Amino acid sequence: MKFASEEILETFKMLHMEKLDIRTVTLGINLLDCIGSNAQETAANVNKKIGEVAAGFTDAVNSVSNEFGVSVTNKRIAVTPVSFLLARFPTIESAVEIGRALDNSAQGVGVDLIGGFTALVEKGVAKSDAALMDAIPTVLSETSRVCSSVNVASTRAGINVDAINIMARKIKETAERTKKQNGIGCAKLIVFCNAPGDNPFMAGAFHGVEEGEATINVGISGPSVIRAAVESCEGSIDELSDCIKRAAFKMTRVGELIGREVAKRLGVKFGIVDTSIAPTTAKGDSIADVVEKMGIERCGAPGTTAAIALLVDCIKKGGMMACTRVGGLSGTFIPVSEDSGMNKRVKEGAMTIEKLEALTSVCSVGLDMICIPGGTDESIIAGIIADEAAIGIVNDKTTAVRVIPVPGKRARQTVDFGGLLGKGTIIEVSKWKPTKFLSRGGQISRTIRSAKN
Amino acid sequence: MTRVVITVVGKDRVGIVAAISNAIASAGANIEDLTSSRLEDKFVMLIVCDVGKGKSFDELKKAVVSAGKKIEMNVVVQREEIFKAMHRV
Repeated sequence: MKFASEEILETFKMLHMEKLDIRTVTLGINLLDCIGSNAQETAANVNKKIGEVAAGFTDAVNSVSNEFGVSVTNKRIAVTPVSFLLARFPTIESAVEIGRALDNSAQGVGVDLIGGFTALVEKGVAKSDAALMDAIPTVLSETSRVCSSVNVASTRAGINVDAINIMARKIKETAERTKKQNGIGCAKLIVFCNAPGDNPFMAGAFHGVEEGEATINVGISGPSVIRAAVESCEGSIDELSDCIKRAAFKMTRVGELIGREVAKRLGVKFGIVDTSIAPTTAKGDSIADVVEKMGIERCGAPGTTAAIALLVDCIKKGGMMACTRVGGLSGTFIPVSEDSGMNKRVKEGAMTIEKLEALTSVCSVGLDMICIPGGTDESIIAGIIADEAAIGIVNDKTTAVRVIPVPGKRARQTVDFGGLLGKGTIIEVSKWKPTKFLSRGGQISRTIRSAKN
Repeated sequence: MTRVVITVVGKDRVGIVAAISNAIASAGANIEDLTSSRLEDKFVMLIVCDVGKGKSFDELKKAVVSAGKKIEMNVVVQREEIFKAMHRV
């Protein structure tokens, strides 16, 4: 036989017993040519362009999924950061109008989330960026599919503290505007350092201005496959590394195959495979479980940072051997509410926000889907963002904050967002504030190490 | 030419090869290779076949999956490229 029986059976096991899938196929669309003479005209152009480019998107993904026998969990769209579309009419009303157009377009082409209600403000806030940031609470509370992200820091620019202060306020406002749903609007809002323009994962996906006209980016399968690989290995750390690399190689190859085929059928460019492993609330599909299978008694205990560093490094090595076009975030997500194993450890106190912050230095992004007390002061949220951004600029990596100050909830209470967003335990945050430091405003300048020219 | 790999998994019983190969023939596809194996306590049959000129992947898949259902076997039909991607460097 052309393939060994063991190879076919391994594929069967990975797909049907270990739940190998594709987490997301994301179609990036350039909207710069949609800018009209006013917001209404621009919104209409946005609707038309997304409708045209993404017309056959879900059908193409479904048929490729059917032919290769690989399930695709999410189909999403990422667009050019909307702040660029607002340059000629930088008002909140214009931003809201375009936000609504994105929501309608996503619904029209059958995708559940659309990313790109975005501003890049790491070095300064233009009028259009300010309008976009001011519109975030309205857009996230009045739409269901729009995701928003704001990049407040970068290795080259340093950290825009003024932008951080604005975003801390917008997070609180968004939670308040969606308080009936436990502040769920904040689950669609990410504050970034070093945001990549080819990340296929929500809520942070947008189509970078450096990208082409339209691109297919793919996010590979989740922790359950890696967990099975780890479980099968009782050997040394060297052997464990090889097991993870082999699994990552196969997962990445499946991602590339699906991505290239969808891109071919849509007549657009294939972009990248993002090798980040993203947990879900499904049993066993948990980064905490992987860490514990590696031999850490509880995820969050000493040794967790080393285990995740090893995990991410092996996934990168296996993934980059498999595919030349590895991009996006390509690490591992460590969300809390979206990962039932991680949430369990937060609940019992094994995992704390300080340990999650430490893990930022070795994972994809950082503080992700973390529920904090609703009464958390704005300046504490700003401090959390500033700390994450500092880790990002010093280590030249992407970091991010997606926190939900759940209205009316206190530390150790729980909240249920339902579906993929899962259940969250409200994590305890420091009561001490960085107010004076951050209210000084200004820019934390780039590091000496970043000045490489 | 579209080559597919058909994986049939389930409890061993009389008539598995006959049922599945009949379905393949009825869809106009040609079996190029066939072997059997075991996965844990289950019987496994692996078939490589060519969909055939002018024939549709979906028709073949429908025919084989429905034949499998009748004899309580789990049948997976996949284009062979996925095996090349996963198992060849």
